[in-house]
Amino acid sequence: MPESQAAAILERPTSSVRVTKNGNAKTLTVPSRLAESVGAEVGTEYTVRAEGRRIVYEPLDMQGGGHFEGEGPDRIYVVAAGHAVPVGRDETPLKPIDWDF
Amino acid sequence: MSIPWPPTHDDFFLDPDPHRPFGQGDIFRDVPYTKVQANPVGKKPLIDISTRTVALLNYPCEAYETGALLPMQTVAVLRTAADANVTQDWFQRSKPPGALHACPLPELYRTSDLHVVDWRTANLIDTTHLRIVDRVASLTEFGLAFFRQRLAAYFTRARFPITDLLTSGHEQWMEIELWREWNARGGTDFQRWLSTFDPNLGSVPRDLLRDDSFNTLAERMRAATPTA
Repeated sequence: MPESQAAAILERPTSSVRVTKNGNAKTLTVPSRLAESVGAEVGTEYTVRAEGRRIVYEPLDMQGGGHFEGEGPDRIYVVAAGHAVPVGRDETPLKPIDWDF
Repeated sequence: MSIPWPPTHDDFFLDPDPHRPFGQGDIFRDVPYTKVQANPVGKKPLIDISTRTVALLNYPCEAYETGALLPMQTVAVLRTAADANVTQDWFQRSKPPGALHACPLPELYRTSDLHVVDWRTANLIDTTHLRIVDRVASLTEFGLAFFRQRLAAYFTRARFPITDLLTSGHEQWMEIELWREWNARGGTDFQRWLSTFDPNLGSVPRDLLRDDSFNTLAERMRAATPTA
């Protein structure tokens, strides 16, 4: 999609969406054109937070935050709490390696 | 940093540079790689030595000691994606992660052939088998962050955000870049210079890396080296 077209879609608000009561708060439904404009596909993970009355969704892969500890070769980067997440089940069928590799 | 997905060869790799120090993710060809397979009880193990293309796994602090390469390094073998059972969709980052046993390498040879580093083959080799002339490629800063993200996912089954890995690896990256230029300018013993107190700075030059005063450090480095 040409950049200008994508930008135009971003600037133009979608029609309103409605909050519903759902015991499973693990999914996000967005208009497909909006998702396409930000490169979101099925399975893309976001975190959600409130900013005043706004609800902000941020892609998980774009988030960072941590600090350095230690000195010299023992200097490490400590990832902020919650930023390292379980990978989950490997959905690729795994063929065990054998000695013929 | 914004990288379009999937990355191209130039997003991920740097052309081989004889002045560049060894770095995590460096690809070397023609490396003797040993397999030691058990034999039935009472017989000697089956030893196979073959020439492979490998990726260096060591973090620089474990690859070097005060600027000198240590005698042993850890590497993992490059395989075709088909041999390692990794399909095209491993590059669809937004989908649930998969093929955790490998790191995909985009267009390594500037062809459509798919190659991966197979983490399961991690092995120890003699450093003398990693020759600069046989280095096929090094990684860009983004490529290094992605490589480390995949490496961590294999060993820990945890995913670290790429932004954290870019942040945590930035100092290492800048140091390697300066070291490369130092070598290209004919300098010797970069690590000793980096760690020697400079009265004009009031600190060791290395502290400027941490303070993100890279341009100042680069100026000091160029002043301390002959012009290439």
